[in-house]
Amino acid sequence: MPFLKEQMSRRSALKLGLGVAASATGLSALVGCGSSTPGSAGGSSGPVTLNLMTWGGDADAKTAFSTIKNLYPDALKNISLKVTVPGANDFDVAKALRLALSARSNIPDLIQLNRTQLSEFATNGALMDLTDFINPVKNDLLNGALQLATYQGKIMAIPFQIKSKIFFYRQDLFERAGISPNDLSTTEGYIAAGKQFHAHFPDKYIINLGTQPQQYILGEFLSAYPDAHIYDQGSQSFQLTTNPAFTEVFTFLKQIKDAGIALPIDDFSNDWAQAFKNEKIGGVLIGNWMKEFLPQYATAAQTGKWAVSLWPKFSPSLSVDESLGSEAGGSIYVIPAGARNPDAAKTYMQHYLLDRRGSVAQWEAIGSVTPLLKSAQQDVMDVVNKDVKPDNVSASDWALQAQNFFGRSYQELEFSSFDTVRVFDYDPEATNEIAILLQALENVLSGSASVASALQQAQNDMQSQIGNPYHS
Amino acid sequence: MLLQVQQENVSQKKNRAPKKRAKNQKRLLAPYLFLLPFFLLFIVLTIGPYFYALGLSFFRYRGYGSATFLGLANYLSVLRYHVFWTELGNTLFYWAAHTLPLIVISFSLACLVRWKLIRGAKFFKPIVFLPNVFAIVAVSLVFQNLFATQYGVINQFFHTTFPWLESASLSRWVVVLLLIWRNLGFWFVVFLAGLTTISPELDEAATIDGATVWQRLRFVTLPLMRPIFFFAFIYDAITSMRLYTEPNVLTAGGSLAQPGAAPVLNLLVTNLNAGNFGESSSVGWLLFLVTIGVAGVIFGLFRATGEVE
Repeated sequence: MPFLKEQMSRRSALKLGLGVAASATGLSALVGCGSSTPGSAGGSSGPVTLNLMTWGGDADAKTAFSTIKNLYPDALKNISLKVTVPGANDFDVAKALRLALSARSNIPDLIQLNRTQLSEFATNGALMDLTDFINPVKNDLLNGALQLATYQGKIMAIPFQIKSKIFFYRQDLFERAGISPNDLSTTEGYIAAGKQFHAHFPDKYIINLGTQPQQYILGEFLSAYPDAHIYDQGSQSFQLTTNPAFTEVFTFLKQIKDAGIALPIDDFSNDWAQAFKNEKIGGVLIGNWMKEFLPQYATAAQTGKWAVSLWPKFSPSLSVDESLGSEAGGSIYVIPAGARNPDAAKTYMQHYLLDRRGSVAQWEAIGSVTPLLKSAQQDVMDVVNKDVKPDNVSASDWALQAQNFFGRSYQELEFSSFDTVRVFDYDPEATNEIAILLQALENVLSGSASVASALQQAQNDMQSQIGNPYHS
Repeated sequence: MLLQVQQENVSQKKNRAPKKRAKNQKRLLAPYLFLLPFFLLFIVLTIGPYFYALGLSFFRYRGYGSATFLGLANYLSVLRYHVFWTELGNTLFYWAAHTLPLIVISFSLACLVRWKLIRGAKFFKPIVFLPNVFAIVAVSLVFQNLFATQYGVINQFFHTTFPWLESASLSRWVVVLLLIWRNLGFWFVVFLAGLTTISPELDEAATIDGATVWQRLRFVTLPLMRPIFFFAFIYDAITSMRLYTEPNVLTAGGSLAQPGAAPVLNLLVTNLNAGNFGESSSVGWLLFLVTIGVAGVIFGLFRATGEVE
């Protein structure tokens, strides 16, 4: 190797070897042995960068922060925001949080989660108890918001977005078909109305339901049952075959599917948005977040044609009032026990979501997250009733905002839906359990299994795959 | 005098020997030093995580908090789960259903181009290769638009409402179609490169001897292309065992497909999403064993029908 002979002395070779070894050592430290040095507690001593983790994108989080900082410049003068987006959905955030907890490094200060994930992290002691922090504003929080934030008697989260149950329907088509929303209050009435609707408009359906429903459908229906649990800690057993809630909900959905009143496509399938645009779907039983999607799907051409109400009760075939409940509760912010700047996180949250002016300002700036404070409701209604298009919103976007697309009564209805919120008692293995339960529902809806056999199979699967969900 | 000179030479040689040895050692050491960075990275970032995952598969562990040793319980739990077998069956189906048509079609196209049996090869080659360049997610979304039940191009054209993507029995074939269409270009290029290694003189000699096109293909080309086919089948099998994106994006819009159409990797991801790292790792290792098994079967088949180097 003449090249080496000329270019590489023994000393150089040693240097190279030592350099490589040093790099490798550094790399190993980086990969496996990272440690965190606690930073400032986030008080007023110096500048603090608040590390906030959310999913989907960082635009709303940044807009909210700049809005609140403009509103309270003194309180937040030392705080800047860094937004981390590990992926498109809440699963990605939960994964990133587990990794951070595992590495004990770069643990975010504030994390957005869905309520379904709270139990896992709270049970394992990974989150700060926020009871003392929330207590001063506890009485101002809407009932649904307080439920959202509470886990086993402690307030473990800051409520961010309640996903209440709202029925969206085509008021004009219902009137032409001679149907009133009150006709839907029983299961039989709903099916009869669906048939009447379809008979009047042969290419339209009162609902859409395919064979692969989204998992939120389970949370929406099951949350109406106050005593429903997937796993009972007392008897240490899964409840799918013993608690009537599961059988009732599965049977109801199968009835709807078999009655021929549902357009056989699933939510968020390729056909869904198009079906709204082509006026094939006359109603949708869903969460309040649909206020953002439906106007876009249906387009401005359907402005004023859609109306909203609480969910029908679907009694007496369902033993509970289905107008109660929520879709997986909603979404929350948590502060991990190992956060570097918990005080700064609390300061920001205090001015952002737990303050009347702050929560209204962010709602005006972003438009999607309705304030969850009782004291802010009148401010919101004032803004809605004022009906003035903000300068920074285009006319086309303004036309699609909920109060314009569904009418000004939308906001009042949404507030009343917050009072009917019930949060399902999710356990630490909720993600796995819901995946198994959803498979059972798919089997029932596709006709490959009866309700009883599907639930029995799901129960067996949970026993073999999960065991005791409270064992860490 | 002569003796003195000889003694001096011997002592000089003795003095030079250690220096020479040191030089030789340095020469021997140098290439390994250059290789060291790769091996260190490979050990830390690849082999290390493999063994970490192997260790993890014997524990119940969420990634934080305490880890509980379970022995083989995670493996037994996976093996007893019917969804594992369904999804493993789907993965094997996707592999078995697409690999033979894919390799036959791509090899045929390569032969057409190599033997100049079609015109416009310069235009033809990039067109065939193009699907391989597109992002998998983008391609899957295009297929979604083609095969959607109510508003898909296919159903609209034929005035039908086949649930191509909703019914597992149909959607699995759409996934197979996507796999063939997307991978055609890659294997076309591989086979074309393989065909160029065959000396034209062999073909010419066979032609002079009166061999037909089929005979040239059967007795000249195919035997010489044997190593390429071996590589193609092995490589395609390994990538098929890791199939994930196509069925999920196509049939579930990016969330996890229903078990009837889902690949086995979904079980790994489901456990990962739920924080069950131990069970997730055990699925990964079981999948590794299945991959070894499938590769072994292919190896055995090739060996049974001829030599494999």
